Amino acid sequence: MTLLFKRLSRYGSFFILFTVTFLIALSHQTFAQETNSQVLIETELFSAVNTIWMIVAALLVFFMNAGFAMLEAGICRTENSINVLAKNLIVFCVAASAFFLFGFRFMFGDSENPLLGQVGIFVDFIFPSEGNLNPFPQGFEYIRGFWENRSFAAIFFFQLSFAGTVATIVSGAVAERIKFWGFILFSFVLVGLIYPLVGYWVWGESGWLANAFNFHDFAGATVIHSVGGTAALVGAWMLGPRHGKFGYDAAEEKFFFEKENTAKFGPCNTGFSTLGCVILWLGWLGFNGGSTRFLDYVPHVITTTMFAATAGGLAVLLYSPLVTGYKVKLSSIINGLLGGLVSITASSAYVDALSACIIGAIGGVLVLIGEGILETKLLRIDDPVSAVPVHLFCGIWGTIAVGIFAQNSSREFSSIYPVIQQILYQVLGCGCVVAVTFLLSLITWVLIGLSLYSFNLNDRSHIQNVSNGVGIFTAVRRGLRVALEDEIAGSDATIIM
Amino acid sequence: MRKKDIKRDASGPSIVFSTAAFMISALGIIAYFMFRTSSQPITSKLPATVEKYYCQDDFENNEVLVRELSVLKTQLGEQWTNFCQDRLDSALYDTAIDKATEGRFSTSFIRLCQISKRSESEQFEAAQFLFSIWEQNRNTSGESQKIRPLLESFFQNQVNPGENCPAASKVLDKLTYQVDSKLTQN
Repeated sequence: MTLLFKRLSRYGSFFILFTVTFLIALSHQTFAQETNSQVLIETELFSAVNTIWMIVAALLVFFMNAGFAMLEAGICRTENSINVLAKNLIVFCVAASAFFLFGFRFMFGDSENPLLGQVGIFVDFIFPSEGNLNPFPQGFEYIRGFWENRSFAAIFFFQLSFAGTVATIVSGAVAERIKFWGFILFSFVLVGLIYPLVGYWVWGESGWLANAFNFHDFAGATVIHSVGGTAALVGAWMLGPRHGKFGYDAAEEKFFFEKENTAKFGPCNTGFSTLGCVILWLGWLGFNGGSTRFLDYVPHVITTTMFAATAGGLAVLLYSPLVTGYKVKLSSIINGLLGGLVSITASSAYVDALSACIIGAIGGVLVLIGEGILETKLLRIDDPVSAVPVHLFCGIWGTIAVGIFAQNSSREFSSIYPVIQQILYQVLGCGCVVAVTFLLSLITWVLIGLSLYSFNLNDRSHIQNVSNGVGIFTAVRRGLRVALEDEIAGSDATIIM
Repeated sequence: MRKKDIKRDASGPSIVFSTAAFMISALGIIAYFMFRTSSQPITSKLPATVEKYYCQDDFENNEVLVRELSVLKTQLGEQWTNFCQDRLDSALYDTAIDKATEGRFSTSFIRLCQISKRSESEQFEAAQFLFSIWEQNRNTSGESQKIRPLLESFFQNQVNPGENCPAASKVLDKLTYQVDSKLTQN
């Protein structure tokens, strides 16, 4: 027997064997209780299988943090990689705190208000007992019904992993020039307030978008990706480009129209980026697969997610020369894949595989076009990891695609409206979320920027400039950005402040 | 030497290839939509067909099916069709049998009472048959079992059982007689 275990461990099979045995034993125990003792009422049956799948899905989503970290660290320059990794690690801690303090209750707590969720602090976790295997704290009856047969703690963990993703999206767009604390403070507000507010409108009990406009967003193309992408867009715009990018001189805070050295901003480790992409791809299967309420839909959701990603990657491979005039880059393939994944997020349980391919392919092309739009002379928004095209543009497209491709034969989707009307509602819903997120992000970035600027006592010349009538946005930018010498040396030199 | 992932101009053949791929894809998407339009129901025009699709879904078990269809019935209101009612009645009947096998007759009676009275409804006839054998103190296996007292007890507590339980209307008279006679004796 010992020999058998040693052999199993050696080939990495012990863990799998143990997990499978545990799952079978647990599910058997639950169902045995139902038939033998009749302790549980059918409608309130606590399904161990559902809960375990939700936890596995949450773990996959949580693992996406590693993917984001690898992707960003690989795409950014070597001298910033430690800073990027540190941000990606700490951002989940910040997100968890904010979500536990206010976010979860605000987003998923019972509320009859169409605009605002339940106001309160902290979430209680009650120990399960024999009489009540699945206790829910007060004020969460809605999610008990919605996520039937799932443990409250599992639901919380799953949603927490989602919330962590929102903040991580911003990290890439503002990389290499933002102050560490500026990003941390913004992440706290984003996950604690902005994300739960708009998330409640779509996923909350009485949210006005879902109830009044039949707005559908299956796994969060709008709620998570568009929100994260919008916050990233505002952040990248407020900060300005990296020194040298688009001919920008951070010392003079002006654009000098010299041709930039593109090689200077190339990725430092394409291996890391590719690994990050694959980790994200894997995590997305949990992201979408865990979002379905019906266990029998999980394989379908995983299949559509897979097809959309592959279509996104292929679309970039095939169309890149036509759309951009350049040869295909590895970073474009990575972003095309991710664009496909973001695009299918809103509809992976509503569409068939062929529709998923079309949605993903358009998402991939959209990333290529989006990257070009941001780099035009009019905008010149420096987004090192293409977070805005991938998450915002594809998030919007994915949300609209629900109206075009969703089928009523899916149990997850129901609409009695004509296709055009449903598309209109999807556009309206997504537009409202993006507009509100834009406004709240702008206010938050401005407040944080001004606060950091006023605390920056060492930089007296900037303070003098403000007193001499320098615009508020300039002051905000100076407050949020690291000093030029630190930016040139690399933000690794200034992880904290 | 570190490899760079930088922009390089595309060659002529690759742009031609890319254009061809783009055109083929566009044609594919158009074909998809043409095919889809003819085969997929459009919600606004064919509500009954859409509803039929809903009701064709398989669920984890009959309990879930009953619950989902009951919710759907409320949501769809007048758009609810005979097809869906058949599906709901079948699920109600199946769950009633399951509950009776488990010895939970009260739940079983409630499910059978929910089966609607319609002409040529197999489920309704089957429900009537079940009530009749139970009234005769026989179970679904044909064995003798005291079920009639349970029926009497159940209907004694029901408000207007004649209307609320159409499937039991035939046996109700007999049971009502028994109940009345008890009252008379008292």
